[in-house]
Amino acid sequence: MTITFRPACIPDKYSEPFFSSACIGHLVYQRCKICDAPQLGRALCEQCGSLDLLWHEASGKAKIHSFTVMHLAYHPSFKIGDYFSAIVELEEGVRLPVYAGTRDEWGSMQVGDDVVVGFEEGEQGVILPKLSRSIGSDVLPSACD
Amino acid sequence: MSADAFISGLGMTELSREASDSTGVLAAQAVMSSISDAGLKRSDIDGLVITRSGAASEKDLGLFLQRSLGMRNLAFLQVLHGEGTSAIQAVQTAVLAVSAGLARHIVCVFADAPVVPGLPSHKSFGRVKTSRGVDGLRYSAGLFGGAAVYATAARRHMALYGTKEEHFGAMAISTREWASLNPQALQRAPLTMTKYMASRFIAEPFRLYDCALPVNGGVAVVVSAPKYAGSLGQPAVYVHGFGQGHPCLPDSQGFEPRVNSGAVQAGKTAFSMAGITAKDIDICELYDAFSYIPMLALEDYGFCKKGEAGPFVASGATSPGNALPVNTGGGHLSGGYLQGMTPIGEAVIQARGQAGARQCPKHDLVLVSNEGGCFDHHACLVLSPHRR
Repeated sequence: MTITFRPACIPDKYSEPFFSSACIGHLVYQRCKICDAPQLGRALCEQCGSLDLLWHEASGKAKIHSFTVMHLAYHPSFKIGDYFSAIVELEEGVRLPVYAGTRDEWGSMQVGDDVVVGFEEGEQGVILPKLSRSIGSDVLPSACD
Repeated sequence: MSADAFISGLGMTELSREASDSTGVLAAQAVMSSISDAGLKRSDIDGLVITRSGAASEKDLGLFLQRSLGMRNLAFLQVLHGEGTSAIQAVQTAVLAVSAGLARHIVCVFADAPVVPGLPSHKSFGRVKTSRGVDGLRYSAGLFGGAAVYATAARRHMALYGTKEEHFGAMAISTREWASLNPQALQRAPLTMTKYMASRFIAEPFRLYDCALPVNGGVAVVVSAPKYAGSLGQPAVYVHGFGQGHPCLPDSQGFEPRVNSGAVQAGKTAFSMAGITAKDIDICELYDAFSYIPMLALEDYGFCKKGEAGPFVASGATSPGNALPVNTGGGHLSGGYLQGMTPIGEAVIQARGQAGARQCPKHDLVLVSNEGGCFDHHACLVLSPHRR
């Protein structure tokens, strides 16, 4: 059986640490050294425009900020029936879109639920965030370049 | 206000779900139709503002349109891109240019041909994209197309304010009731709550009827200097006020970008310019790519309290014959999705008093809105058949 991977998000200069850390199972985010605002990998602080950003490790603990159940598959990897995609808010304050899974696993999802951001492999070997219900329940990537 | 101009002409091509002319040809047809409607000749036009869908490119519709139309010696020409707000931004730009004396008659055009026979509707705009950097994470997460991102916004509104699926249904039904009175609307069959609830989901909470249907077509309006009012082919529709709002809220703790739009800022600017408040508006033509979008606009313009758009729409307030007519031609949802130009066209028809069976008896002040990104961009116009 051929495994179809979810579409890759190609790292750029500013998000490279996010993806390379993901390869070793670490979820990282940026925090502005000037205004303390948290964000994902960008060149400038979204809130004060500063270039002085530092990477930090996140706990992976998050809450469901919002979500949708997709009933259309735009990519072969999503031809799995209805699937849940969420916007989660990490306890460090950053929000990011994360794939959850099928209705079997996530049918009871509600805004505000406690979840954990783990990882799984996507196209081209890029490691992508994947939602879990609890710490340790996700499968860490087996191989990274 | 110092900006002073009026809409003198409106041109629309046939809307089609079949194979059609190219975007460029549809645009040219709409431009010629708008010039004829205004009672002008092509040689009277000295300005052109071109807008297109985010899925289209310069080769689909761009500066070449001037040459296609054989328009010589234009005094004003630009391609404008503001996502879903492009159409209203084009009219605003034309009003400013005419007011500044740069041109006399400027045509603003939008055309699109996303519908390809054999390609399902959701593939018209929601193509798989691979993006660089963190902005591509949405595709990796499975959030494709506008439906997915606006669905997460609608879900947030439900969680914060108790909005129900039936409330989105009420918006779709109200819009369909108006469409049933418009012979030009693409979808006119009656829609009941039972039929709405039984329809298939696209991206929960959105069902089929919460999503605008992509169409091929073009719309153009002519913006003219005030000294020409009364001497052209159609009743003048004056621009009393306009505004924009681009909130750009961070998507992080403490911010709620999914339930707040630029309508607050745009409305404040436009109403102040027009010397009115929301209470004075007779008709709303609000951008509705998805049912939730005009509902948030109703809140942010102040037609109802924050979080109460669901019950407001469910009360029937926006449907034919009631207090606040909204999307009187069937909007994008039932009328046809010509991104932002559909509401402008209907506003012009209502302000002129030419809407036939769906004409609102009171049409002194018509609010038109455009929304773009995911509540990142907002623009509006206040139109009136009366000179200020």
